Amino acid sequence: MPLKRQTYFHSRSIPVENGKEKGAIILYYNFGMEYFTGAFAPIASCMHTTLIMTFAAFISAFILSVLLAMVAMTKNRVVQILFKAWLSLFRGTPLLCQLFLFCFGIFPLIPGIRDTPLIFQGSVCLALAYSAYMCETIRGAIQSVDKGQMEACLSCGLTKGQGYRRVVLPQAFRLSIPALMNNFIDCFKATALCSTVGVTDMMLRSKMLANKSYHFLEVYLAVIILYWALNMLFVLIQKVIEHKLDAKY
Amino acid sequence: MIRYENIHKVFGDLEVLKGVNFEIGTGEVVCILGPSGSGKTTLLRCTNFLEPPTRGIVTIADVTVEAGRHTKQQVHQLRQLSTMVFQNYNLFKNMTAKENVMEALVTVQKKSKQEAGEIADKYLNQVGMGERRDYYPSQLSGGQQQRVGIARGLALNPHAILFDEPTAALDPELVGEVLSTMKEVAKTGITMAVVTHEMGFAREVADRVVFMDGGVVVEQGKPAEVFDHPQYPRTQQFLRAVTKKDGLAS
Repeated sequence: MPLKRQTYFHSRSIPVENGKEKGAIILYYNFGMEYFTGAFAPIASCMHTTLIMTFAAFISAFILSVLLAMVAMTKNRVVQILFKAWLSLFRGTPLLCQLFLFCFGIFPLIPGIRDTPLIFQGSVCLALAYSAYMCETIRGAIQSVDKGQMEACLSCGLTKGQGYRRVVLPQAFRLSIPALMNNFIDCFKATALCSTVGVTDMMLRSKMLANKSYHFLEVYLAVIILYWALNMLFVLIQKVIEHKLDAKY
Repeated sequence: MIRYENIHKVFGDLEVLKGVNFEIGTGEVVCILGPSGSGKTTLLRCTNFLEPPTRGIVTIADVTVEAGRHTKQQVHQLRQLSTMVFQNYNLFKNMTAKENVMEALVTVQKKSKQEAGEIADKYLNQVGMGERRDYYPSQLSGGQQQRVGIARGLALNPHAILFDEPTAALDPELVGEVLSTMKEVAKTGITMAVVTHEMGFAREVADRVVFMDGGVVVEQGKPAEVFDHPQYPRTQQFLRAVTKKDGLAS
């Protein structure tokens, strides 16, 4: 579709109720429907990038956060301090700053990571950041599992590790699903930030389209609808998962 | 056989056990009685090191563990020789009744799923829970959960089984089913240590009762002797208070 630059703003003065014309100016905007509908296909063609980043970041953040949560429950002072520093660093600074620091500052210095695709680097940043949020979720859930469950495991001769794996973590996981789903949605939305470091996701694609056509409203409306639709889909899946687990025990 | 030698347990500034010594013979059923705060439950939890004693020696069968010098390995051995039935049942909430009984058989004793399943069925039938094997704990009444808890303990074929106030959290009308299950268990000749407030059960089923107060054993003997002719004022006082309450209840 050929895109031309045009002027879309027209102005006219409107009368005020008492009859006197005032100089009030209202801008009327010619909504370019073809730019709006035409934006979906190219933006959606980058959906896989957004989704891959979301799942890669979330799954690695989840694994990392379970490990962190286990570490956090040890009584070692030094470990505790390191852990608190980790949490504070990632939760207390803007994600955008972290992305810039890692993708432009740190990763280029590391030989193994320097040449990896940006989508990987972006996902790593998101995973690090979200592991800090999720590990609090997981830790809370583990601690809210009744102490008696672990005692019962031990009294039956299970080791602590077996008790966690077989009894405590499955229960904690179930307790944490609503909160984890919120983390997932946050993570999904945060992938848009990776467009700033050059990952061609839905956001960057729409930015390129908009800059080319000057139809900012149409294009960004399209991208936000796409994000929203995906979000709705995730919420629906969450409901199904919760319902299934509720039916079990 | 369970033997306690000079067991001490300190929580912060509070000394809960102040040197407990006694022995439970193989196949013997011993009820541990005493007022709240006397250290009965703590002693039971010291037996399998759910609470490691501050000092003292615990022996179950041929495993002797000295507190303070114990290794993970030794504690693990102690726990394989004993199982515990809890006041709050503590069934694994993410598993059905049958899976609860099977869990340690498969994970600890490395039995095949099929064999574990057969054992689980046998013990669930024994406690009268065979028909509810596929129910989750949340779908069972307290008494039913506790009976599954007993089956879980028995299925591991332990040397000794420890009951920690197994009926204290139950509605009064459910106490009977659990007590009668415990009586059946007592008949099988397994070593039992029972912390309880059920004086009727202690009198009828126990081979010996141990009366604890203030972190030490005050008196012990055959139920008839201790209940009818208590030697020490503290025991007399306790039994009078308890029987008085029972009298009012009936």
